[in-house]
Amino acid sequence: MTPISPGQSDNAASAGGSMADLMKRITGSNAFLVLMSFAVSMIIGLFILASLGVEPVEALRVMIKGAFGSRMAIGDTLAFMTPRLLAALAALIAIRCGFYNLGAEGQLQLGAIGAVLPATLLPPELGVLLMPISIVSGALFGAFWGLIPVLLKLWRGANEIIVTLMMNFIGIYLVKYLVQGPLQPHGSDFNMSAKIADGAILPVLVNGTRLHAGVLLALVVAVALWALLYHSTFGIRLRVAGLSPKTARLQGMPLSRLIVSSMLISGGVAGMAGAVEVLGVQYRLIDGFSSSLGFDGLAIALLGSLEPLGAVIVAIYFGAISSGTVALQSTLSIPAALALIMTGLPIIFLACIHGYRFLKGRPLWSSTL
Amino acid sequence: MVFDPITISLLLAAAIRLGAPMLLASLGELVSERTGVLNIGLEGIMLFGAFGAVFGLQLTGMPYAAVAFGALWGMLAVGVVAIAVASLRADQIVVGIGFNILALGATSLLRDMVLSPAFQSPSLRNVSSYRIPYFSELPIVGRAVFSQSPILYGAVIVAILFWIFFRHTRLGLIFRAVGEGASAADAAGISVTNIRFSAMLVTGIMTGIAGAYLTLVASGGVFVDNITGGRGYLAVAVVIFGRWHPIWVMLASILFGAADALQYQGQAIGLSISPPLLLMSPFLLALIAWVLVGKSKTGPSEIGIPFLRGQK
Amino acid sequence: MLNRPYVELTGVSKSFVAGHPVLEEVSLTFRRGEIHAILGENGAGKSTLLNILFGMHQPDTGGILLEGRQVIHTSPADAIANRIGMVHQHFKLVPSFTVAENLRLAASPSARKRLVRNADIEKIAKDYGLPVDPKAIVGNLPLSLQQRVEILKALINRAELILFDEPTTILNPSEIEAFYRVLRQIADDGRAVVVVTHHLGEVLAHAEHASVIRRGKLISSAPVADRNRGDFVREMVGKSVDLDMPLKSDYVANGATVIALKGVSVAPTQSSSGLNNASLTLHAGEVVGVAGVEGNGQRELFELLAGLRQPESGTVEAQSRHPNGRAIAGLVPEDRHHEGLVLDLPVSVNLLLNRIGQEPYSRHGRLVHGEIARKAEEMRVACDVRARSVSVTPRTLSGGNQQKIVLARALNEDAPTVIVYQPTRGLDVAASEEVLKRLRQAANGGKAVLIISSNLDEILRVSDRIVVLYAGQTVGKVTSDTPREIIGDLMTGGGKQGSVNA
Repeated sequence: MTPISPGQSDNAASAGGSMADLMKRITGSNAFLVLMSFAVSMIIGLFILASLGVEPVEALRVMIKGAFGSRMAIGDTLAFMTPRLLAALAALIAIRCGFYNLGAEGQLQLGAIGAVLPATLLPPELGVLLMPISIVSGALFGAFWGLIPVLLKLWRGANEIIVTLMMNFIGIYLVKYLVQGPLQPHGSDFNMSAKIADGAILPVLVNGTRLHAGVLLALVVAVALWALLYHSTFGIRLRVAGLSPKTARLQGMPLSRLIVSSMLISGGVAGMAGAVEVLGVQYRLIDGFSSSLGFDGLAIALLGSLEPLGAVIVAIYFGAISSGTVALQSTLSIPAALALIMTGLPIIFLACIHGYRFLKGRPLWSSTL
Repeated sequence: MVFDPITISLLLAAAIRLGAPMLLASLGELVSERTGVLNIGLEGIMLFGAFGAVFGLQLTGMPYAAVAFGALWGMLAVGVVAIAVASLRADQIVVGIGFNILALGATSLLRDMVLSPAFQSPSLRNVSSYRIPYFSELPIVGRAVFSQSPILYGAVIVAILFWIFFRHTRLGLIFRAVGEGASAADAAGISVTNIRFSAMLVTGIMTGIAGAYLTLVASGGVFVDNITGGRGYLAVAVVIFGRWHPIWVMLASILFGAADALQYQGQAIGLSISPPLLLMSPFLLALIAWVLVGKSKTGPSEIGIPFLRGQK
Repeated sequence: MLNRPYVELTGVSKSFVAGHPVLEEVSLTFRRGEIHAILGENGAGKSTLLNILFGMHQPDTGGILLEGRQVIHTSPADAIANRIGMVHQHFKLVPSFTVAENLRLAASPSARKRLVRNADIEKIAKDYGLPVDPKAIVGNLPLSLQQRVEILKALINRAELILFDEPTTILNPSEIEAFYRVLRQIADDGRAVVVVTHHLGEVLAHAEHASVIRRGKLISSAPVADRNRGDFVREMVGKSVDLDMPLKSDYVANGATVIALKGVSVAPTQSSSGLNNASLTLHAGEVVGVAGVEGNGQRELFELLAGLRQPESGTVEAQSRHPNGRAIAGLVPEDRHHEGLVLDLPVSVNLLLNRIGQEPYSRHGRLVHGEIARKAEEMRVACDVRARSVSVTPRTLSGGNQQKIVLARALNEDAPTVIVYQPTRGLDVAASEEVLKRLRQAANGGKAVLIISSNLDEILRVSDRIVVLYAGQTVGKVTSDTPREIIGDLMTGGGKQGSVNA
């Protein structure tokens, strides 16, 4: 390949350089690098499969079939996607405002508690009204959990990374405590709450699948956050505050209020993720129900370049990996741990690419990271 | 509540025993954080260490060789993180989170592939406990403090060595300088990348041994998936709770261990707090500490920031 | 013997972005016993030159000769080993360490033996004529003392060539005198000293040799004694136009008062004197320049006028205020990358940042993208921002174009006042000229313009009235006709008549 000087690359009209120029623009773009990270991770995954003595092509076929091959497969993929997408949206809205919220996991636990309380304690006669009440209650609990680190930061200068990490544990232990004590039905030895009222259950969308109405909520939230970020006055202020807090301050924007609002939204959406998992999948509060959905969400948000649309796409990948490995497990008895490897790898790859470009002065993401 | 010498002794013994993996990992993390690297990937590194130790045990049948294996696997695991973080300047948080997910999957897969479930572990007695002559005869503390795993004694010695290292040696000064003012260290001709890399290797060794302790001492030579159960994240919190000081980190680890111990032995002393609430208490304490202590000293100023020459 | 070259740069070129050289074929010679000044405007490549000598960057072509033999500095460690020391513009000190720890950190193995006890450090420092308290925490020291620690770092490592990057920006006039006495001593001891600066006065007074760099090229290198001020100015700016000509003013001294500061005070900090009973009035249609050396209360003055802080005593009276009490003013901050612009949002958003929540750009909380794009394009054309479109980000634009965006936004503000802080920092001559012209036009159009700047030349050219800020006080009432020696005297604390109403 011939070397291109930047002087030429500005001039798209020069016919000789345009093809190479186009190549360079494609290979340098976010989407390309994200795709490459996924592709390389897939290849490594297939390589691992080969070393397990499984025909890679066969494994890939089973995986794709398990993720997208039938109505049920697609339903499972989307069901796996739903809480992860909500957690990712929660993470990205906070990070876009410059607040490193690693607490989605804890906010999600609180959301589950918030959802299960009305769904088990309110009179079941409320019927389908219980479902929106439980979701809103979950969102409020999550928002409350998100508010604590932001207030600690504003008042005491506490590092949000540390505080949100610690609050995750408090949330997890709180769920543990509730299902072993106050919420455990009398006479039960299982660490779980009573089953929620029928009216609170998120209805199954497609018969024979686990796909529940929560997926619609997740997609609506994704569109709403996209509109908020790109089409609202609040959103543009939030992005300004995240990208350049000093500029926001000089232009008289209410920085503290913006951060508090973005964390309320973030916590609320994370809370919804927990609520949806309880109301649509588990039907009760169970110790350890989340299996690090919150961290998956954070990873999805970052892999999706902190864009709502990106989060949707990456969340589908995560969902497909999950349902695909379930199929691998049942048909070829391949350990489900493969899914974790194939979600962890692209995160590391992308972070390295980003870091390397930062080192060379061409960051992949903008300065919130 | 009942406080007779025997229960106190048992409780203290359990607090120290359960605090030990935290102590090992957080001492390791301390070194990284002092040079400005926040290593969220501790959880994953500990998992690799735990797996490595059991793998080593099955290979050699020798408990101390297993500990060395744990350290080695910890070092290899941290090597991946260090290349990303120290050399490629990847975001420390993002890599850490990705690495933890990866480690959870990889160790589970490796367990499936290479570990034999039918393996009969040799006696692990000599890594699990050693009675220090004379001291172990002392009332109360004899059983509690001086009849612990030799790995723990090692950790205590390491804590004191780290304290001396950071306070009194030139290399310690350099390590601190990299964490407090990377560009100043760079201008003094010190390679920030190399220092961070070596600090992370120390973290890897210590955390690997922490994983080895978990499997060899705390669970009889058996590796189960996610055996660390969040202890890596906890160790990061312990370092902060201990204000980046080896001795305080040691005490903080025992405090966290005590909360763990109380859930098993709380009833013996008539304490009727639900175990999850006990486990939660150190985190609540840490949060309250933030509120009370506030901004005074929030650790190495470069923490979490990749080094780039030419930035001020 | 002293006249033999000690260090030479031979044909050094460097570019960070291919095709955009920062340095082109620069050859220079540094001798022992000599203070060698390197002059040039911001961005001329001076700092890069020093960084190459010190091993922070590697030259693309050319090299370094030390007493005639070729040396390669791949890192600062190599430079230090070759007895080169550097005092950076932003000090390379660990703020939370003590003076002794910082010195020990930087000391080479042989030097370390002499620094074992704090008493040793105290004595060595005294012997060099730079007394310091070894136990003091560096971050708590005033900048002049931090600089002293930096110089000691170089001396302790027995540096024979010491590089200074903009050393006097942070010093007050009496400290500058003391600083050059130290440099003279260092040079007289047989070392070579290189000072990068854009303060011509210092060069004429203290340096033996001066080299001028403009846009990466060496323009001249000659003994100072042979040359005069005019020569240097011409070479630095590279224009024959008379830059001392004031810009035309329409002001006739009858504008209404739009802002008045009355006896305001703000507590001093380690890097600034704060404000001490300062007073200032600003009338519609005039340009008022606030001259003074950085750190004499400029930052506090700007923040007061921008409504970012309240005075601890005294009052700020403004003709028009936001509902939240902030005085309405167009603002051009000092640091355009962090305070003026959001580098990763489109030019259009940046241009309208101050109005983004108002009609017609936003209705019922919704952004009206069409209106934003239309207005932004109109502003872009009017202010001659050279960008492909308003949807590109300012990160891709030159410093001059970035500043035009900030300025366009400030002037477009529906406010009687424009507060401008270091408006031409880092800009080349042509871009600076345009900024000043626009400010003058704005005043001629009826706005009240306040320029806070440490660049006396631009203040003299554009202002109707000049206020000098010294140690947080507004001293002296001067006009652009006042001889610059008198203003300089006031800036350096010569006019000790206390605060006056200006």
